[in-house]
Amino acid sequence: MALPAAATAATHILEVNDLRVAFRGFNGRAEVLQGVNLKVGRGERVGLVGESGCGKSLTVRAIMGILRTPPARVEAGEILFEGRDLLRMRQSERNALKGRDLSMVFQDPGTSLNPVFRVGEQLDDIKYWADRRRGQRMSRAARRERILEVLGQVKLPEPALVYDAFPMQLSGGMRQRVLIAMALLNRPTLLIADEPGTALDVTTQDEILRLLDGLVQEEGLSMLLISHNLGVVRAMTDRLYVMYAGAVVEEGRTADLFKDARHPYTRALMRCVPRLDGEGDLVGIDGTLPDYADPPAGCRFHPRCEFAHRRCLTRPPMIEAGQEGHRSACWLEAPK
Amino acid sequence: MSGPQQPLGTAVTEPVLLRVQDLTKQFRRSRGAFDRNPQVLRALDGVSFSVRPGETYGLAGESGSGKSTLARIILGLTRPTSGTVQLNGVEIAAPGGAGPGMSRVEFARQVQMVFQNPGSSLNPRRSVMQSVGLALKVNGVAGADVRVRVGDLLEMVELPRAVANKYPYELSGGQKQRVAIARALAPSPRLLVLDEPTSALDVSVQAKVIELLQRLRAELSLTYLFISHDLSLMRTFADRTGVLYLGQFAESGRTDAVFRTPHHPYTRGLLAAVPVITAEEERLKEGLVRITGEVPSATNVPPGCRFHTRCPAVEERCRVVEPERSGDPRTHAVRCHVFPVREPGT
Repeated sequence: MALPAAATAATHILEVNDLRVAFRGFNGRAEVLQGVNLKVGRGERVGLVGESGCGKSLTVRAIMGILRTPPARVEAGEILFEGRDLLRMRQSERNALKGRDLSMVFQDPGTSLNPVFRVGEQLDDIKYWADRRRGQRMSRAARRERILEVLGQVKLPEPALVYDAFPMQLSGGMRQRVLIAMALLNRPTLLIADEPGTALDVTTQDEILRLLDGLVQEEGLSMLLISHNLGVVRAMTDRLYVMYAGAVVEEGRTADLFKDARHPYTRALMRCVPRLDGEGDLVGIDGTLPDYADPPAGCRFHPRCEFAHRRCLTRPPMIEAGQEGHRSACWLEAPK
Repeated sequence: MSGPQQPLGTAVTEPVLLRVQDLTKQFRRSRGAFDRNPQVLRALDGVSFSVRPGETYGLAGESGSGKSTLARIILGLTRPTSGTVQLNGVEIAAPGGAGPGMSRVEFARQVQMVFQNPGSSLNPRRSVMQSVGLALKVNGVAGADVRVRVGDLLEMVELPRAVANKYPYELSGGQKQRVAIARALAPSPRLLVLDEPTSALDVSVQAKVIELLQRLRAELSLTYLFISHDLSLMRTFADRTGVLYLGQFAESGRTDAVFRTPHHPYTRGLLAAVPVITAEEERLKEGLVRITGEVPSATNVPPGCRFHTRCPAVEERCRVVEPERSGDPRTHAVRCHVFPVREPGT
């Protein structure tokens, strides 16, 4: 495989280039994602962190192809999965990838399972349809065996009992484990996890995260982890993207980012997090997220930025594409 | 009624605003009218603590630990099964009883509450003026004064006076929570019960609201009872902390003591599970053993030490004998056979 395209496919399992998503509503057009770039390497654990409304879930929904269109519309960009553009392939091709090679762990264990079907039936459905889309058939007994195997993998005690249980008979932590099992069922290569364990108690969340971490390493998966919790992404990822108002404002190796955050937003965000050792004062960020229908000109963070100067008010800073390593979308950072 | 665990000398005069004594709350869960053996859910099981005027007392615990039941009893929303709550020496909650030993209005002037979700605790059909104005009437403010006072209160929580004419849907989450705080402050209470006041907010907004609450406490000499599951926030905000497990304090005392030298394996396990952002915090977690499993049902509290089913340091006696409280709850106390607090000088 000497082709350059194949070479990229070998290094990055997922590559999102200049993704732009806009909404049309009664108040006109709102450009929410304004050119998101991100990459996930093979076997890499990548984090996407930001506060509510920053566009992190929207990015993930666009990747998974579960955006509501309308009102949303992907206006530009490409999403390369193993080198193939998800946005430009036939729907049937995309569906065959979705839930199989490209799988997602959903956030809310309370609402992501159907309350009227047994856990086993829901998992069986997923297995059955994923196989059928690939033109494969498995007996019900064989599917059941695979499901019990995965339920055991997520360390649910008594998989056979869970198989026959209704979601309401399980605790929140167990339901989250079922959702992870669901995502692993078809042996994906890329796992997208949206705030796993966020709705759970801290000890349960910790267990879920450690489980996920172990599975990712065991199975050699690549992972894109979405979270609003800086502590969680610090523990769980190798590389990190920080989003604000629909754009990535900083990226780099997780360790570097926590040691030496560069973008004023990332720095401010870190000062907002209360510390377990009680050190440091909590400093919030004044102002609110801008209105997407009427965003500020220039850098979208400038109205809340203590370092904003004239250039920030008019010209949006960019993270130059192509460079590797730690960089931030800020004029203070940009080379002359 | 001072129980056997009450060490001698605790009763010596120190100013106390809120005194909770041996509070127990049981709920009966019957499965229909003919259920002869209704289950008893022990939500609270002998909880005692005192809050001094001007301090922030934190109640930490996972879901099902009883922290919300405790808040509801203090607010008079439900009655305890046994035990009492005193505010400034006046009984405000007791089993059966005639309710608070003061009028409803007087009670409202003493104790107010800020709820977790400002989206549902503010009436969507009332303007901010109406919501906050109603709370002012408790204090006998009427007529044109209401408009002025509402404006003052909004300024106090760092909102523009014009917010008075807005409705909740026009406000952001942080602004709504500020309005909820303004409403709670309207009757000039002495004690504010804060039930997860920032857990629905983003961290950047949470930091601002916490800063505001800290300033208000100093300026208005308020006392806070702060309920949260966020231990890092507890560390930053509370002067003293009680860690609840299945309706009982596992450990309590000065926040820095509890966090710096946690004794109870449950507290240690909780701290070990908190995601942190610096190497210094990581160091604090070193050597702490994580805990696994889930909180048992409160209808079936384990015998002996209630934590023994999940405890990494469990011994034989823990399964049989319920541990007594060791140490002084004013500084550091713990209920554990294996790691008791040894009082200095003894």
